[in-house]
Amino acid sequence: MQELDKDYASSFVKYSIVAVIILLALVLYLIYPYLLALLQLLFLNPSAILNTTLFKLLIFPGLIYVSIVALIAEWVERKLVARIQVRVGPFYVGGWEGLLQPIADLFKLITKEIIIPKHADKNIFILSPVLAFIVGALPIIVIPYSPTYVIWDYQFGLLLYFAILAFYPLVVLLAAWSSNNKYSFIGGLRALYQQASYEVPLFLAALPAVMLAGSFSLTAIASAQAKVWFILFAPLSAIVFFAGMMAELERIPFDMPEADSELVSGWTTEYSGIAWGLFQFGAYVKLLAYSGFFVTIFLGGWQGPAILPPLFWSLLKVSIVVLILLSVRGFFPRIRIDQLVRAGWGRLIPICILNIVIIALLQPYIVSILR
Amino acid sequence: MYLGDGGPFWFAVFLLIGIAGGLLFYLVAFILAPRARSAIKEETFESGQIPPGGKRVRLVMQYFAFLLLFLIFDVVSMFLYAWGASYYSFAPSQSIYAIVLLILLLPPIYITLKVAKSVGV
Repeated sequence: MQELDKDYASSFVKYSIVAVIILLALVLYLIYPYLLALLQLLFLNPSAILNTTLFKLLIFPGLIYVSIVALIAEWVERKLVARIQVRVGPFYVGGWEGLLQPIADLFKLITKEIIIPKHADKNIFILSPVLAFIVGALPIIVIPYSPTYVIWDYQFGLLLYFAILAFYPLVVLLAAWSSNNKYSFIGGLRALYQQASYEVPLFLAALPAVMLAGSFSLTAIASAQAKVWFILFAPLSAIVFFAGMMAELERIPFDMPEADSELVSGWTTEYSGIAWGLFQFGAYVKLLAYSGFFVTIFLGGWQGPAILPPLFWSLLKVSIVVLILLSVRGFFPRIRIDQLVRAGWGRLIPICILNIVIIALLQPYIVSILR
Repeated sequence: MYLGDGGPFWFAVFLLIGIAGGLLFYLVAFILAPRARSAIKEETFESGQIPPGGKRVRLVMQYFAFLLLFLIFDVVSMFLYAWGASYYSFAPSQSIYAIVLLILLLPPIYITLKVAKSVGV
């Protein structure tokens, strides 16, 4: 019998208790005046709470909304794919159609043992799920759901969005290298190729929106679509963006990094319990961030007939895009890595360039329509 | 350090809450979950086998050229953003320079894909 190493988990628990207490104290110290103002509003004018930034950050386009949608998306995906494949899917937990299955999964994952492999680089191994979750969740800070429901109406929101998401391949690579496993390493390299190949088409596909709105602010881009949605000027870019989105999210036609039939679970092989759960949670949050971004730059954001409030339209569009993204999983087989790289560089980038050239050449007409 | 009441402040708050939340998940898991350590459980996973040789696999970076191409394309698309943001202000005849730049991007892709095919990746 081999000797066991020193118990890493107990020292991690000790340090992370201190870290969590310090972080929460810092957060409380920072938001203390805003929290106080929020409590005052609770008694004076409850409807004004909806317009405070703290409410937006914590509840509506922020953390709680995103967490709930991530849980619902997991249930919807399992149910939808099950129906496509003529199965039943989750059925027992929660009474109706297994509605509480994601919450049961959360409790199951949180009460499972986290196995830390002997040869892993333990600090990075255990911190990369947290990083993945944050990198997935941070972009929602710039995505507008209505003229008022945006946490940070930043002038260069689009660039900030891409800058944050550019960290994701790095997190994947950290997770893959630190687990020190052959499957993880191959999965991580595949993820690197995939995300590097599809970052450029994604970036170029968002260019028409910036050109047509004349601004990098996502709020300005959405309000520039009051007359015409940008998908009518840039249909090719929208298709490319959708494909790139699926590749960046590692969803089924592009899921080589975690191909479960060949590489156990790709770069998440060594992760168990809530560490794996945080990766999955981060992936669903990232899905929501990408669909919100797609709706904002191509489908007019909150624009729609004025009989219903703008919030309704943006939520409707985001849920439709999420549903399409989830259902694609039921239809397609996995493609090979050479097909993926070839399609990314050989097809998607030229299509993007074609769309940009068309928009540049038709400048006088497009400007007269949008002005 | 005063970050102001604007976006950067809320960005920092969001970041801190995110890190604290992630660590909190871990803490709850380490407190609730059972811990039964054993040597075989903490061995590197290899479908039930004891891993032979080193822990890493030597992998040919077949698509390394594409990663280099990515570096160039990312910078060029940044320049294109600088051009595209002034769409409403430049004269139609001036967009010809950007179109030439865009078309110059295509030959490297074509050559790389052709070489990749001839090498057999």
